[in-house]
Amino acid sequence: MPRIINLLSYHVAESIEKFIFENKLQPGDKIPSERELSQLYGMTRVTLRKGLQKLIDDGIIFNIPNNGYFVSFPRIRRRAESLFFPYDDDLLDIENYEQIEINASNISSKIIDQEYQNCGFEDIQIYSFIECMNKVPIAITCILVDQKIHRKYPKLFKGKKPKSLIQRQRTRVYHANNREMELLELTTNDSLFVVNESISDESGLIAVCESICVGTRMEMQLDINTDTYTSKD
Amino acid sequence: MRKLNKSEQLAQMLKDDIHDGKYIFGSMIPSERELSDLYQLSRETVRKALELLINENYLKRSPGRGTFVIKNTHEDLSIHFKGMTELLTDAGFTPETIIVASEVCEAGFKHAQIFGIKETDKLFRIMRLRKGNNRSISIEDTYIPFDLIPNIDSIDFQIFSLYDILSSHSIKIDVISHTITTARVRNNEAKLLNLNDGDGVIYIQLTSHADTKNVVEHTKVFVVSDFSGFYTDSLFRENEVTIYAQNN
Repeated sequence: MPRIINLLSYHVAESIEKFIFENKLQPGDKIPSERELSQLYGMTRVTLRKGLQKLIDDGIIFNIPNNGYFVSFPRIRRRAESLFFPYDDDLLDIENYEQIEINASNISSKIIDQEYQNCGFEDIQIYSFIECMNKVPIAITCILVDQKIHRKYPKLFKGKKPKSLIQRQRTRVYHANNREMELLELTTNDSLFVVNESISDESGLIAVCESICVGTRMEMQLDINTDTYTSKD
Repeated sequence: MRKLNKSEQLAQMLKDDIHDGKYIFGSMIPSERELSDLYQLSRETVRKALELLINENYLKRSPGRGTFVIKNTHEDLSIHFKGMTELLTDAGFTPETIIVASEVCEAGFKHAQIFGIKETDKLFRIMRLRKGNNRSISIEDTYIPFDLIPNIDSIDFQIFSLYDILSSHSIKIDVISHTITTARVRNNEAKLLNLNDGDGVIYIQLTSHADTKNVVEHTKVFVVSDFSGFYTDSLFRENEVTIYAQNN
């Protein structure tokens, strides 16, 4: 069978993950040192480090220089279709969720730079806030709405999502600037993605949203029902 | 009506065999030499018959491997969830799939949990690099229960979409769960994706369920940011969630 890629780092990573699972290590717990692990698995530290690096890159563990490797907190799971409607997200533990308002000038948002001019809204309102889960920042979010939409949808984004909305969502890799790194309390272990969403109803565009998400702390779930689609075809 | 010549007769017989399920979608048919022995026909006649079937999209040659059935006779089962090759072609790219690793392996503890099987149960694993117009798009690392599809290790995944293979074996996927986040790539993965060591990628885990509960496929995808739309661009309306593969 073909083998262009060396799967060794995958196998080492799996062994370490199994160790974490079988020894019931909890998020924040320190895992054994490189020396201990390399003895345990009878492998060189160079090989071991490749496996550890893979686990860091996948967000399973994190590293504190000169201190060691620790078990990451599981990623907060949110529904993709409710990312901008956290109060209508059945996966999100809303008790421990919090929005902290920030000044929009703090962030280099594509929305503020580009969409502000192009959205065609008469009376623009900008919401920008840091989203936290258990006091840990997981995203910086910016929403641009037409003020007059509040008459039609009171408390939009603060409650149930109206059924009449059409949302178009895209996800890309993101590189934070220093200010965003600071606001999100990032380390070099973290990586980011950005989600852009345009929301319309039968009257046209009503909001544009952007969320800079810490990939090592959160993930989006998107469930596709292939049955519904086939039956409609 | 003109009488069929020998190669046309053989082509018709092979077509019947495909429709009757003797040669199923995705399987390899006997070689030219074997067919010529079997039907007592010259190699030249056999070659012409195969060419007819290749032109009619019943068969496809995979250089160095053999000739495969690509006619899906389960028309009712051909699902409307396009594979990446088809999506890229439709978007105007010349797609290419390179198999970077494949193995039959033990499930191990993580996949045992995902598939609800024993750690020692066998999985078929295939890691594919996707390219479009020679640009690297993604690495897809796919796991399938080894006994789900007979001779799965002999199927040419450079030709067949996984979804077509599953549907041709009457396995109907009804829910595909995605989790979307980021990861970083290094070493070989970074080289294959033409990225620098430690660059961020969109990291998607797909889990396909058949009959609502059985997990029949689990894939980890590392996709280059510019191409992540092929996997993640989505549309939500009236409680319906659809993604690029269904909308394009």
